[in-house]
Amino acid sequence: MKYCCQDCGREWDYPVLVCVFCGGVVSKVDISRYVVDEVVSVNVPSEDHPLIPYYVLMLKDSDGSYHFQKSFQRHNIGDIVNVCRSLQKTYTIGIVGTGITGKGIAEVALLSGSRIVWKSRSRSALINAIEVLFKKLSKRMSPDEAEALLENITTTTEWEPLSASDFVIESITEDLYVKRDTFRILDQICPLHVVLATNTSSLQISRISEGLLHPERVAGLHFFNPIARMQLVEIVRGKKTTDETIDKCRALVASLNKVDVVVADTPGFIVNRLLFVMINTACRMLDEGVAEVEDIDRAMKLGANYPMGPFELADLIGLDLCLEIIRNLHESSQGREYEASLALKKLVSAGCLGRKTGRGFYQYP
Amino acid sequence: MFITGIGRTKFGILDKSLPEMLYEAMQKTLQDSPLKIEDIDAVVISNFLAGPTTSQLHLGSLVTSLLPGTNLPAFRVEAACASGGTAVYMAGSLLSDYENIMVLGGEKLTGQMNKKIYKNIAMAGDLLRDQKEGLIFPAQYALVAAKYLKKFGLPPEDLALVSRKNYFNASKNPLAHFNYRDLTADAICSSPHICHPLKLFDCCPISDGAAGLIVSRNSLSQRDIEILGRGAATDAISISQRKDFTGFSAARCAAKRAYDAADIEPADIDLAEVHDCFSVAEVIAMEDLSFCRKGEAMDLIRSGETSLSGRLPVNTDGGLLADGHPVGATGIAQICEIVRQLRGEAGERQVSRPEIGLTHNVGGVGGTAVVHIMRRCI
Repeated sequence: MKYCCQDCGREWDYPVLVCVFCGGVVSKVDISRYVVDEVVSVNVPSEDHPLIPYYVLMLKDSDGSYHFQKSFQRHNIGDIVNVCRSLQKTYTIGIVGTGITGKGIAEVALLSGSRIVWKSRSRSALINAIEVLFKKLSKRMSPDEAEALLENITTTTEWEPLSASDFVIESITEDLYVKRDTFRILDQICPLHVVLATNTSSLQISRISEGLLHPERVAGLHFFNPIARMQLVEIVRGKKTTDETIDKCRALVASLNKVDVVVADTPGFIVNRLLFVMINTACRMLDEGVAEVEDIDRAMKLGANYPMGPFELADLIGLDLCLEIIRNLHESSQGREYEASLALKKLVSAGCLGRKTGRGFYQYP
Repeated sequence: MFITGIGRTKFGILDKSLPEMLYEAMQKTLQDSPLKIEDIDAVVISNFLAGPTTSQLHLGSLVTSLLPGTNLPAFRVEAACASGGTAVYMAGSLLSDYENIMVLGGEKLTGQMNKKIYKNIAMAGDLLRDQKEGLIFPAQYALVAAKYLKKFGLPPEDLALVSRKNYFNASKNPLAHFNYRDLTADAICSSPHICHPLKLFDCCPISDGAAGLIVSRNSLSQRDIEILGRGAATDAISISQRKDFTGFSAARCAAKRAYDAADIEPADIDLAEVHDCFSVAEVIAMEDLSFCRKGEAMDLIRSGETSLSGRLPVNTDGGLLADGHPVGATGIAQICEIVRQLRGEAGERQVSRPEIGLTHNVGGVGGTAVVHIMRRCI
């Protein structure tokens, strides 16, 4: 995007209206085709760019103007790229589900230049999701740009359009049987090259893919909320998942400007398995009268340098979800550390579910 | 206009605050000068990052806190890494109002998370075009280096010649950040890549330090150094808004203005302090200042002509690479070094009887450039 004087041809990067040299009218010029002119690799982390190495591409547009673009993928000098808001290889990503996670994945996918096929059971859920997404995008760009970006979404209440995707990411309710049905349909309609991924946080990939014709293309892609802000994605390797599928998942995660870790198909993967020991233990310390809520949070923040204490985090996640995850972990591991605390169970049955209900371990105005 | 006093602190990782360093530089400058503090009519203060890094702004008033009861007029100047040179330039322009002006510059950068400092230094680039795209400062010059080496078919190892020379010079400068090191070519070439093709020793350190000088309308002693000519210029802030990546048009403009004002030729310069924030920056400075033709700077450096005993010694104090780069102080310290050399007071690193010296101070990746040309009073 640049601004060009219609009379003398001078250019600006800023939305100026009148040329100070000749008084001519300045208008906006849209450019989307760029050649990579130079690539600089950066091996030093800075506050806004903590992940290294990354690349800064110098791009030349058809008018001979230059632009910089950060990328986590190496490009070669001379490559021709089409720029949306990113240069990453772009994918068509199928998303099943319009919940918080589905919306979060859609947002980062759009921002990385991907196209989206979005499936939900209800038309109204889709309309609502697009509206929410428009509001989120409008914080980063002008309404015109946000609207243009939303044109990369195809919404559907049918399964069939998902078959045109490179990836389908399922993000529906945490119910093994509902998920299994979904994957059975996807396995039938999607060509073999399509990777089928589940965003489950507590179910085993191998159980979800049980009985499929092609379980080797099923993997877990576990995002963290709020997805636009959290950089991690856990890639979960089921028993039958092939290396090829994992490689494709890693490329997708990189294209979303996120960082992956590959983890075996075990209860809670890495983050939840560790995190919920802490949250549940903190709750049990309350049961035992070890310390007050505020003091336990303060201790972990100041003594272990955690950005949030266990109770603040539990309230943010939602106590019902915490309890569900702790119960799932207990069921699958039988570990004593996952025996749900009394304090947590009491709050959940009283409807105090954390921030979303205004009350959990803390009160929220 | 004349420089009638100079002074500076050691550069490096110092356990002093910005006001302490500024005070030390001021005290040394007054010791060096025939003037007393009562003779100073105004202060120009140069600093880049005290705001974002240490939450200290309003530096004019801060300096007056160091001079209780004086109520001196004090002005703060910021032009990224060219803040120092710009401050001296501004002081020169203010001589119509004031007779003697103290120029002080300093920077406190250590004792913070490096990640924060790298982000803050990147503020010298355009917010949207450069900073948001991760173009930190070494990446900017890595781009220049890649373009330069490619254009003239040179191997990246050539850049090590610059670092070697400057580290050697710093070993003779007790106030330099890297005074203790004589760096081997092997150590330079085996250091890690920061941004390809730039390695660790191609990059200047992050230093603390302060420097000062006094600019006067009239000469007061034999030791005064005359400012013969000066030039300042700017260019678009992001290098992506330009067409030439192997030189800085701001530096060429500032140099031309300074040469014209002094009415001399580049060949008349006996020594120079150039802005070597990265090794490649010294290479292109040689060309922007017309010390050689485009593409020939590497030959000039390789031949030893810019070493202490050469025809045109460059960065005799170790330059930014080895003397250090306390940003607000840098441009002032460059002038201090030329003054010291022209007076014949440079000790172990004194070059043989120089008459005319030049300083070249650059902000960002060529967004601002200031050139001063000075002459010994004969």
